[in-house]
Amino acid sequence: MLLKLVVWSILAFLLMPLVIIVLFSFHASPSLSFPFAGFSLRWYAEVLGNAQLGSALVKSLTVAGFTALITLVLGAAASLAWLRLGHRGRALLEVLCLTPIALPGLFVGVSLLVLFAQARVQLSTVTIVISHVVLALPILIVAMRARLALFDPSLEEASRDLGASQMQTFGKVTLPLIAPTLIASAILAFAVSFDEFVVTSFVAGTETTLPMYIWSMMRRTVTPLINAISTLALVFSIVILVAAWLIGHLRRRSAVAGRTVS
Amino acid sequence: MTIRPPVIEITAAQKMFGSFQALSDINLSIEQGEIVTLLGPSGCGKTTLMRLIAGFEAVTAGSIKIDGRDCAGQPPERRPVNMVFQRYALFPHLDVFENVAFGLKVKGTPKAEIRERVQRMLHIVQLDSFANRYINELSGGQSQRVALARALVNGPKVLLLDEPLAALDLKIRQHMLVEMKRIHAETGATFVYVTHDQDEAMILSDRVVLMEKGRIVQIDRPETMYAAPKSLFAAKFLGETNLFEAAMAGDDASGMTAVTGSGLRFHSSIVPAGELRGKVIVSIRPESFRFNRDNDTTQSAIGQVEDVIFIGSRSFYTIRLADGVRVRVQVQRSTRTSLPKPGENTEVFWDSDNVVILPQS
Amino acid sequence: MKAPSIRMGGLLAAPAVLYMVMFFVVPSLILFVYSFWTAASYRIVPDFVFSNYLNSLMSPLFWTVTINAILIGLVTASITLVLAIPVGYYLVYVSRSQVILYLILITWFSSYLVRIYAWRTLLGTSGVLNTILIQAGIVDTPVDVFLFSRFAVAITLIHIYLPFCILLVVSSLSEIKKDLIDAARDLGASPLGAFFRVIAPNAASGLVGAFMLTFVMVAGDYVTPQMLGGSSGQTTGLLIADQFRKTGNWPLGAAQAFLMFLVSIVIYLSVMGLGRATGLVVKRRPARKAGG
Repeated sequence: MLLKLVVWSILAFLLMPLVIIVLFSFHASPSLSFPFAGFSLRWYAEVLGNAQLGSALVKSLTVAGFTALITLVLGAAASLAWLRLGHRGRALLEVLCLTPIALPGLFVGVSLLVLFAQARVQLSTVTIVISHVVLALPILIVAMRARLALFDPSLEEASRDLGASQMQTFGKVTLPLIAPTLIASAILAFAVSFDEFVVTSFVAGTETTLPMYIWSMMRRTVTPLINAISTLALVFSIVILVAAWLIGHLRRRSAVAGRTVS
Repeated sequence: MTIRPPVIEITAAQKMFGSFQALSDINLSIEQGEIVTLLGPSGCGKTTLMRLIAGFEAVTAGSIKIDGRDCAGQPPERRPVNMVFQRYALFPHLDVFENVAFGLKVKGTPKAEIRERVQRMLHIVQLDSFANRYINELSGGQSQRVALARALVNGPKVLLLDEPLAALDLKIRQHMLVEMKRIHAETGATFVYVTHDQDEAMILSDRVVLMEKGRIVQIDRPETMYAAPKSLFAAKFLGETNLFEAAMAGDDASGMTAVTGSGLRFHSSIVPAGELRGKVIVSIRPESFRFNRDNDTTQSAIGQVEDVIFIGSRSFYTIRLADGVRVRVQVQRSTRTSLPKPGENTEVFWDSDNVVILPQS
Repeated sequence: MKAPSIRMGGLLAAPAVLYMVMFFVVPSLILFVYSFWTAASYRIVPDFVFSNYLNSLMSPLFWTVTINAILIGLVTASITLVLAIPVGYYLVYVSRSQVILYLILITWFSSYLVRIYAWRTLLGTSGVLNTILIQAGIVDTPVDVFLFSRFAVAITLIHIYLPFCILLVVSSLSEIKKDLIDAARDLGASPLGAFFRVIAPNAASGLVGAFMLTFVMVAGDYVTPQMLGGSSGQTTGLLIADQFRKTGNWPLGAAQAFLMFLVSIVIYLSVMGLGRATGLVVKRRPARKAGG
């Protein structure tokens, strides 16, 4: 079938550069061209021995961890709110979330920069986390919104009817039902933060996250060292995706839908 | 009437979805102008069979001929059949007129002709004044008519209808059934109608094709299928019935006899579909029982009235027979005969032409 | 029951809303105010002048880079959408293949910089593409126009934003039932005919949305052109970024950011207008649930 062929060609286009990156990360010679001179783990060894890289990685993991945590807390509250808000409340939340998603990172980056400058806030890890939450929170809320549309509000009413207080209903009915989606979304927030570059470059000050370190290396040279780092980052993304997918499967068993999702 | 080839002729058709056998050994021919119903529970393959005819799926084996021509490999747009979809599938970006005109437009019919044919069709479905309405401004019944018009305006050899009334309220459904018969009479098209609703099938069809688990189990006129089902499945699927486990006890010129474990004898004058021996099932419709003896009535049983449900024109009795078996009896309201009351002992009667003896499986 | 529930909702939403107001709405407003201020020798002075806007609009450089950004944006977003549609169509109507979906997600979540780097190594003079071409005897000397050209920028941007665009297309096609395609086919339309006559008009607003979001992302992406575009890599985004990082003329940068924003809106309106004029975009009335 022609369509299938077209689809797989497009997928090949998407995957081919990644495959090349991974392939050359194992290249025995520093050149990034064919003929392939044999496999070696030397670039990975070099990655492990690079102290600057290590500290950039730790910085990125810290930032992404805090971003995911803050996004999760704010997002969970907003998701619970979503179930209770009227049309106007939902519309407000939607505008606040969709606008930053529809804007280039550049715009968000420079506006946060002027905010911090105006408020005389020193650029630091804190400002990076604040900025990343601005990017991740809307994504989490938009992802939750699609899920919550399927949430049956009568589940909460049933719980109240059976004698549970509002707090008990939150804890025993609503939260367990939306938790898998929330956690999966928080993992995505982590991924967004971990990979963020454009906004970070405006608000990082003298801090160096992993993407910023990679950027500085990329500007200077082309070396399989970057391939090795990239491969590790790629593996990390896949692990994150698989984690989100596994949690998504838990979700399917829990009855978030309440009704079947067709 | 001249003899024509059947408008649809399906021979030994099979359909596999992966390793799942959706349809096996389908043989069916449909005559010009008929209304044929594909009836069966969900998952029996009736919709798949319709989609095979329409060209949305291809047969795994066997052949389908439309108007005498084998249509293997022919995509849906090249087949002289049109379909009414379960949820109508009306185009939301077009108004009623444009929806109905769609097929003609695609085929490049001249504008004037499109206008004329669409208007005539809208007149037939009684939507003349709705031509410029958008789809979301229509009620369920009106959408249904648009869907019918959109298909029929192309003058298909066969109109395929996939559970067209499933989305409608009961009242509108009954009205649309009558409408559908009228439109059929007015256009003279051949209808193939898929449904799981036995009432729709009975009311509408010239012939009913009963399907179960991917096979055709019986093809008959609705009256015949109701009166003389050829299988336990057919007896149970069409209408309500009383079933008795029994064993064959005789076979002579006047018919067959089966006897239950407790000695209740049933004599049937209906010719069975196949050979019957050993254990069988006896099926008698609730309305075939009576409380009064007719001249030719030869069979009866003694029992006690356990329960009576009165629903206007009819009453449903539950009679507990001497051996403990319960039967349902349906009687018409009558001012002339006296009917038994709950708790009373009574005798129920039936005739041999209402007794159907079926194989056990 | 209803009123306390809504109040509770307001209470729960407050932290998130407050956060977004503080760190998105307020900064945007400050940026807007900045665009009327002036900068003199690295000091920013509150003011109310239109000179930032006027100077930008009269600067040939601004127009050159903006037209460059728009061109890159339009071409890339168009190609991206054209590639995204078959994949989206396949995922929605042919096979809900989890494998394909996850392959797309993997590319989407693979690092942005890594993908830029990948194309750099692929297209460079001693890169993979050139080596293959030389070994296959197609060219004698490395082709250096692969890298540092609009071609390099476009192909990389397509690669970066295609997964995102596919997901947008999938979500907009998901609203249109397969029944409509079947009905169109049944009435005599070919597969392509069914797409253009039925799917495209009904999905038009979603597809235009996907195009515009891709356009905004692509036109605002200054890193890719900077890394792969060479002399053709100057875009408005880079110009704006440099005002904030190097030149230090923040008010000018702010004004240019809003001009870029304005340009996006103008382009959105033109695309919609073009769609309407060609009849591809029609006002779609949302289909009411059948049976009602």
